[in-house]
Amino acid sequence: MNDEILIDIKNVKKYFPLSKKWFAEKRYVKAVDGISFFIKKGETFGLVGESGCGKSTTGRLINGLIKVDSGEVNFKGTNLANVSEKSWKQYRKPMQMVFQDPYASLSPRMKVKDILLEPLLIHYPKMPRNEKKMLVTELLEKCGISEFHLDKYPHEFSGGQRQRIGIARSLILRPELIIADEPVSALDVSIQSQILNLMKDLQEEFGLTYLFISHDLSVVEHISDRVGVMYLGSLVEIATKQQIFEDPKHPYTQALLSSIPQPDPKKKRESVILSGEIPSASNPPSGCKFHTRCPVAMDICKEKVPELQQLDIEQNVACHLY
Amino acid sequence: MMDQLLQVKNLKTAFRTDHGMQTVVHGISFHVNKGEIVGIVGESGCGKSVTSLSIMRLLHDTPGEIIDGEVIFKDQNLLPLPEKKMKSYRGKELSMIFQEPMTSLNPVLKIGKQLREPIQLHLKVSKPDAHQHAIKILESVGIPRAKEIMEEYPHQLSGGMRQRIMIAMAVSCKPSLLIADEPTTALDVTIQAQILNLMKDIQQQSNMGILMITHDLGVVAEVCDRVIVMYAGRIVEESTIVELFEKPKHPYTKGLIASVPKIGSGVNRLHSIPGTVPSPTNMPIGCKFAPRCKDVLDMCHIEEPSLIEKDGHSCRCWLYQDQRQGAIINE
Amino acid sequence: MSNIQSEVVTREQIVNEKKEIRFYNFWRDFRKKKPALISLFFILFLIITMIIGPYVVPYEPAEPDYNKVLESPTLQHIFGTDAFGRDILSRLAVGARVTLSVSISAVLLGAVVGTILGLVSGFFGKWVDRAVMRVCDVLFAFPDLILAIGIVAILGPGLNNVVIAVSFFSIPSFARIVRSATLEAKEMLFVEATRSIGASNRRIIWKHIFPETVPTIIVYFTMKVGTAILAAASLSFLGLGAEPSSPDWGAMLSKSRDYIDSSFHLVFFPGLIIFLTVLAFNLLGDGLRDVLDPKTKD
Repeated sequence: MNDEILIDIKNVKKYFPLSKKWFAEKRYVKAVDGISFFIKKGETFGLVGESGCGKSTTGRLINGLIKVDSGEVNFKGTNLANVSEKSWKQYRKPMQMVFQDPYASLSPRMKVKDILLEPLLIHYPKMPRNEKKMLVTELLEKCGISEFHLDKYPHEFSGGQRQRIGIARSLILRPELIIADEPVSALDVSIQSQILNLMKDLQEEFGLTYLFISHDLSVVEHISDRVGVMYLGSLVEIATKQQIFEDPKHPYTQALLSSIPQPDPKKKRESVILSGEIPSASNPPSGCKFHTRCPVAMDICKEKVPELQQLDIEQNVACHLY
Repeated sequence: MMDQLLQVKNLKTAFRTDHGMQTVVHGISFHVNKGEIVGIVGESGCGKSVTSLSIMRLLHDTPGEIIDGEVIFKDQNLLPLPEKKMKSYRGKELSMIFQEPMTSLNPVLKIGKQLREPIQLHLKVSKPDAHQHAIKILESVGIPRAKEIMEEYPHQLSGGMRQRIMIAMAVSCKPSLLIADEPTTALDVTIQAQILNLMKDIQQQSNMGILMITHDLGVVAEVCDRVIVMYAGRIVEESTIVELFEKPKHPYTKGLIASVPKIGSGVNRLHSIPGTVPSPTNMPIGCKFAPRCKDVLDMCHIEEPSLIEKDGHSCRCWLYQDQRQGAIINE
Repeated sequence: MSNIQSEVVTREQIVNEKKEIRFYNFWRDFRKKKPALISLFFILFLIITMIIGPYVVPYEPAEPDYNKVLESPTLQHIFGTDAFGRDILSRLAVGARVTLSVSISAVLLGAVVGTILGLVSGFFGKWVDRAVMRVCDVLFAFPDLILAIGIVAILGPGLNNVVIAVSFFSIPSFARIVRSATLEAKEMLFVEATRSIGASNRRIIWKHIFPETVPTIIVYFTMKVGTAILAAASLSFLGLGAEPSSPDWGAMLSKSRDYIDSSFHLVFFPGLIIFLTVLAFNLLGDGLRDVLDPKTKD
């Protein structure tokens, strides 16, 4: 792994307007509220957080499925926030997505063959037909789907196989960055491990960079090199995997970690059980957004938004404790 | 045995399909003791949810049908009971919580009304008494502003709140058995931790039995006393929780435990079980796990092993059973 | 072992099987809808009549026979004869051509225009959607027949103008139903997935969203044909459609109304055939909807 930065995100914001009621002040869901991070070439960056924290929105902001309100998304030196709708096509080629629900992300009325050919048809319309076909077969084989299945429809496959097809589709244009949005959370454990292993193998083979979005910390720990923890649209901690899982600094990271049920009955956790619910993103708490549930909240937390600051090499935390 | 609360004997459930009846639960037997938390784990399609619906006799909305077996609850076989009698059991003696609380709450009725009705019905109390009782229950499951919540509708609440309300409804008549079908799967980890804790607390206070159905080994390890592992409609292993995680016997259980990424384990590759669960139309002849098993013997393809108990640890695998029969065939 | 063997199947086998299975599944479900099945046979019968009718009818439909004026049904003329002694059965058989081709082509035209409008307004939303839908609302505000009469009044009578008039009032209904199917399909994950690989809007609409709306369109099409037959017949009845002398069902009905007291069969048979055809198209539509588009079932 080298230190070349593939994607650098600076202070990105995305507010979704709520349907306005008459005479009421216009309100927004602050899905992503000023986040900054970078991903180095060849690494896996894990983005974790609970539902509604804005992690999926972040993934979609990067590849332009959702437009950025403000901030910069620098991909290999180009700020994608300024790219016009028409020129997006060329930037989508080097970054592809893998989606959570393998049942919904493949067109139900297309054959596997056509699903995989489609990206090639869009980006290389002049490529000879057998060459395209060869690419498709080769890649499917690598993803563990045999040639026999080319003429089947997605509904004839199991969830794990569909996710393999989804991964193959994302790889066919030989991208550099794969944005994987909860790629294994709809799968059974035994299948989940197959897919995670496949993703690791493919990363090695093709030198891929992953943005791995997940709510499952164990999975993120397994696959990532560096991890960002999101809470209500903000990044509260960014650090290497070792730092996050061995020495988490932010109280939210600590609580998340201790909440994971461990498959070991003897390790009864002395867990930090957070009280209360996750506040709504349309009306987030003032100051540090986590202060309403934080076990160590101080007065300052209610008033001042903590900045993300560097604690250690690679470890950045947004908390007034430090 | 005195303290056996629920006893399932040779339960068989089948689904009507275009290809005739297809058995999804193949004669499973297990029991739940008073005050015990028993977990059923397995992957999707292993028949764990169908088992729970069969016990509650809630299959009429599905193409499923119980074709054999007994479900003995407190010395009473529930299966031959008339539906009317069964209704008096449901909610009072046995209750159930589901994965997605929104689907089990009526969206157009206030929480208060939905909570009050079963209480009035089963405990035969007046409306104001039932109201008071409902508030008390809500407070006991950790719901703040219980009085106001009684006047709200389900959609006004968050997922974690709704699941608390479902639990409140389920325990409102002090059932002796609670069946929880993936109660925390739809919830976030921090909320899941709250709900699991709550369930353990309630269980300890009221000494009820809980049958916990889940795919998550972590959840099982966290709350259960005993575990049943299901695969393709059969029980493949059953033991106490500690024993199962320390000395798993069945290759499927071993594979399952090894497949879960563990924090701090530092492994680069996860163990994975090759292949997928066989479809009901295309079941292997012998052991149903044989095509995916790494310790497979010739015997496994020929005959299905039976569930054999040894020191309170049952396992359905030829590796631990007398294979003389198999040896003869091999020669 | 047995497992490995079952995996070894030739590719051709798989391909053929899959095609068969898709059709087989549809047919298996559809076969259970008895009314729809009977309707399908009736419609097939009508279509065959449409094609071979003029060649097999026992009498020349336009040839008057003044010896047999207004004859009640007999063995020679089982549906009787009209005021010019023409055989009603023959006229109905030949008339199937006029009536069905007018109504089917009208609905087809309406479906094509309506589908395009619906796809565009559903997919792009915003002002496009608002504009298209407001125009549809305006068209909806007129009762179908009044709208058709208005259009024919402007364009002048004649079968071509009937086609235009009838298609005109089916446009907004198609636009609306396709729009809602589009809105639903647009939100599906695979559409987003396709966008993420860099597909253009046009490609997404035609390759991914349109196929999702096809079942809805087929179902609606069948039902609309029934309405169109009625409308075309009504226009002819009012003298705005087919020429009174042509064997159009509506025109026949219109011409016969003077004889309703004396020769009931003159009104009865054209009326019956219109009724049965409309009913058959509606029942077929119902059946198709249950099979192809179970979501919209009430």
